[in-house]
Amino acid sequence: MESCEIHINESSLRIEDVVPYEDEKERASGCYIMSLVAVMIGLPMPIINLVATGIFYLMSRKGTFFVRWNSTQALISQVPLFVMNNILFWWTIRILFCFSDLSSTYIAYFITVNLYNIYDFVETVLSAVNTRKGKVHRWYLYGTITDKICKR
Amino acid sequence: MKKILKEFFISTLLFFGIFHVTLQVDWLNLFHLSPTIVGDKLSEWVWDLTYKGLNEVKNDNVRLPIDTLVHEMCTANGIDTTSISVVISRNPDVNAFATVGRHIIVNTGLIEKMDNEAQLCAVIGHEMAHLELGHIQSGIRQQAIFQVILILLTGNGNIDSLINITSQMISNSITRAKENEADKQGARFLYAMHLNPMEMANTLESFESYGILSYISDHADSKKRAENIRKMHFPHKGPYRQILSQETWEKLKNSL
Repeated sequence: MESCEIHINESSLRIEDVVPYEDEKERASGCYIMSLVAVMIGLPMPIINLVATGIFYLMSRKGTFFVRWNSTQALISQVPLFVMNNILFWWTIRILFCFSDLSSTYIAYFITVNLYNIYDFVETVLSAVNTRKGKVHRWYLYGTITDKICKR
Repeated sequence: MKKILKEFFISTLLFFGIFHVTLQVDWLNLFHLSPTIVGDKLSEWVWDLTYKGLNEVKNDNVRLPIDTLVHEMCTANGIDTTSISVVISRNPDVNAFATVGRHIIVNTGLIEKMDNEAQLCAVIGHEMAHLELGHIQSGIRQQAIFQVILILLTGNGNIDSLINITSQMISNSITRAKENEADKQGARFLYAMHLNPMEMANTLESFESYGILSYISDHADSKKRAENIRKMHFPHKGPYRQILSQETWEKLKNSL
């Protein structure tokens, strides 16, 4: 509690310097858990994780900087995943419905996108765990974009 | 902003780099997969279902003459005989259709209506032409998917109705242009095996006179299609051969 009073209203403060309250940690961690759960539930339909994260982002918009920053990073991380998984999803549907043939290019894309999904999954778990501990887990590229978007 | 662009560039490069590396592998060969594996597996399954719903005629008096005609047609036209299977189904409907897995189903009702072996060959030739010209390969797989969805939705295998729906869909999916192409190719098949190619036109006209709706999809057009065949030019004008003896043909008709 004592630590929360330090630096709290300084606009130059970086996300790493913020010391969040317990409920902030919980809500910020929830952003990542939400996207994980949504991915698992809606695995065949790639839109679900983006929608779920988007809803959580809207709910957290008026939250504190720590919560906003993490929910923004969670949302941004879902956008490329959404695009890639969507392409894969519709490509798979086309093959299953015999509108196109199975090809090595499809398998190559399938492997690449799945590697990216695994990377995303690991990063999301790490983010959820670290955020719950009050630490910031900064993703490559998405963390930088979030810094630009999310102002105090 | 520069940092974002730099990181974006590196991320994109990494993604496409991995994609490029995975593209270098011939995955289909590696896993022994064929490009049409999904459709082929579905087609096999649909054929199993279709075959179960058929009442196949196994009488040698019927099967052997038909097999002889098919063999003659394939040999004369450079088609692998083993790749095509003709199944005779005990069914009074005047109908024949090509279906999944290069199977041609000919109903006994249709054979009964045929005046001679050349007319029967015209029907088989028309269906074989659809297979050889690739008219139904892709369409037929989509029908297979449709059947799968129907079975999953209805939760039953009312095979007869499924076969009817599918065969109708297959004929509906074939355009008039393709029907004309198959007629012409069928006539060429007859000619190559030294049968009268004009029997294709006669067959189409006979369907017109019988008022048969089901066969070769578009009854209203069959007169025009027969005219198209009559316009075709075949240098040799006969005499044409007879493959089956009159006795065998009679036996075939009497055994139905």
